Amino acid sequence: MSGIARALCHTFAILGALAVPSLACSSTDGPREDRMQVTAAPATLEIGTAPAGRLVLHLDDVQLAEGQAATFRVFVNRPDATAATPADAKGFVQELYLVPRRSRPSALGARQPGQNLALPLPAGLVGPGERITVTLVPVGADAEGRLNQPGQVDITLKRPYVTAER
Amino acid sequence: MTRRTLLASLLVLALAAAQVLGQGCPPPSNIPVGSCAPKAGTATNFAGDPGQMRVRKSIYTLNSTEIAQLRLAFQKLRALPSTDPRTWMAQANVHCWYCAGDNSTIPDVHGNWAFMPWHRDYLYVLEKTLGKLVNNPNFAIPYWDWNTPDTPGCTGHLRMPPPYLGSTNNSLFDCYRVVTPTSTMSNSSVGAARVTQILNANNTFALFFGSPSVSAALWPGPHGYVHLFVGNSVNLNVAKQDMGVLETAARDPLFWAHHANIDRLWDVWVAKYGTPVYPTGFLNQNWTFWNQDQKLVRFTGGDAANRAMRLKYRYAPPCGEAPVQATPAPPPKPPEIVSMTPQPQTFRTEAKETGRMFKIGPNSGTHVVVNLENVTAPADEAAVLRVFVNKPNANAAMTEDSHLVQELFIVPGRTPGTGHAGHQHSFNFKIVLPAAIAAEVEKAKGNVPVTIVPVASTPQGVLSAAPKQVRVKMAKPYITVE
Repeated sequence: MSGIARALCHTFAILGALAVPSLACSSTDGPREDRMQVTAAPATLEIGTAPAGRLVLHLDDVQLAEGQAATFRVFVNRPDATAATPADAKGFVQELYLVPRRSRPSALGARQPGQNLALPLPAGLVGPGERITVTLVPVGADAEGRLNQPGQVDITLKRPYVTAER
Repeated sequence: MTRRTLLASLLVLALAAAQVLGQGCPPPSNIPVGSCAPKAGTATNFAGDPGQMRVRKSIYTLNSTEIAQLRLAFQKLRALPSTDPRTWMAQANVHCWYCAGDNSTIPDVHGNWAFMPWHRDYLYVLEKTLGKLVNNPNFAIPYWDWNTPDTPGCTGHLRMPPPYLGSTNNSLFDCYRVVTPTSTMSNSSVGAARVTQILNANNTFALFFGSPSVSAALWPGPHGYVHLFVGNSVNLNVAKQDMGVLETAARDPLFWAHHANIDRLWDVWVAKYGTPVYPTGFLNQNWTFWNQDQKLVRFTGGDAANRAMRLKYRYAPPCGEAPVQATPAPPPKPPEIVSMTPQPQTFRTEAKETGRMFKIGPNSGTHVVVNLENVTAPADEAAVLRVFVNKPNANAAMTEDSHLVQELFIVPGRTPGTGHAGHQHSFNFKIVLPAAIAAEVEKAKGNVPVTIVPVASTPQGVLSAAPKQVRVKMAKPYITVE
């Protein structure tokens, strides 16, 4: 699949997850309809409205390409977030660093076992009934190790969701 | 590829190889991951550390003698023959096996609530092995407190700890780090503010420790950053041996200092929120390691959760941080003393934990105990007390009741009437309850009536059913599980 086709696929997958899942890209090597994929560009997905209570964002079945690590930031209601958006900006939830299990892929296109992450949202970030968007921003480091450069990752995950805790 | 770019690429590779080989390192091709299956064996359950409490210190506070011993320990670990299940590579392969690397057939311990206790037990075994190799039972691994803010005389936490630098002459050095001595980690990623933010946000057991299917809070946070930083330097999204990949991470001696800090944050979390009620499933997780005596031993999440009692180590404060001043405990309240009367007296008890889990049952290996303390009686007076548990209507006529758990005979130390009534005998009694009564106590969660019935006796020592006036006092009874 070409880069353009992959990008279109990616875009449709996210749009599909937003509104009409059946519109999601059906190509064999693209993301499945209930999943999103993040590579280089920030990926944003609206996931519904916030329930009342203490909110926890769930990123389930996060799969890395074998032989690859992943560093990315998670923002809520910051669809404009980029790698330059600092970690203390409003909407920041967490910076994630996923260590790979294998130094080399065992097979072409192989993925590591999925992992489920639960990220508590900062208090007051989203009010009850408010719509929630989740933005995942791959980040890389500059020459001095500061994480402010666009990053390159290859992760897929299930559609994020939020739960409320008492 | 042009000839020019090919030559340039070869030159870069040659320079990289020369750099690695110049440090006495085997070329990367000689360190394949290969099979990391551990040596098979029959495991026995961990019996608890019988030794003294060991103290893990910040790597930045070790003196030269302690650093030398740390290096000697790793040197001896690296020198163990390959037939020994404790070798440096065997230790690293345990991590590989438990991270679902290679052809591992067991569940991964990273993306779920095994992450914290598994690594705690794993570090314990290495620590004891290193201690054995240097013949120091008090040996403790250091921790790399990358999150400690720099203070005067105590700086550089975001860079590689100096004892781990150098070349292969240093057993703490690892050939396959991309990080350099001057590389500095991002303070916003692993510094004090970030760690505090994570600890504040993850204030429940489930959020901090995870669940059988959800990762612990620290796993994808600073823990991952440090791994990737050491293994990959600034290129965090590329997998590189050793620290940058789970399969090989524990080959780097720095792995242990890094994870000791992660482990220390467990204690920091507990200090902040109190000891959580660890779910049974968490406590019952288990895994096996070859220990310092080359025995395969099964450890549990419970061993990890009971660090001080089972693993016998604690953490010294980080460099530059004053020891936490413990709030002086309030003086213990004097026990409420009650006087026995001729009539039975019933007390409601509450369970007191003795530091062990409150687990009662015939097969639990624990006992339910009624404690009668500060029992005092005049030295020249005899007394007989019957103790009933969960029988509030007990009286002196009941001699065969199953709830009669003990008859206490207080024998005078002086001849009655010799003028020694002012002398008091004082006793403490522990009465272990039979299983059936213990079960009732368990059902009542330790809150049961304990009835003390003084009974008269004839001069021949035959007990009667008549009430008896005694001058016995005691503290209110209470229940413990021991």
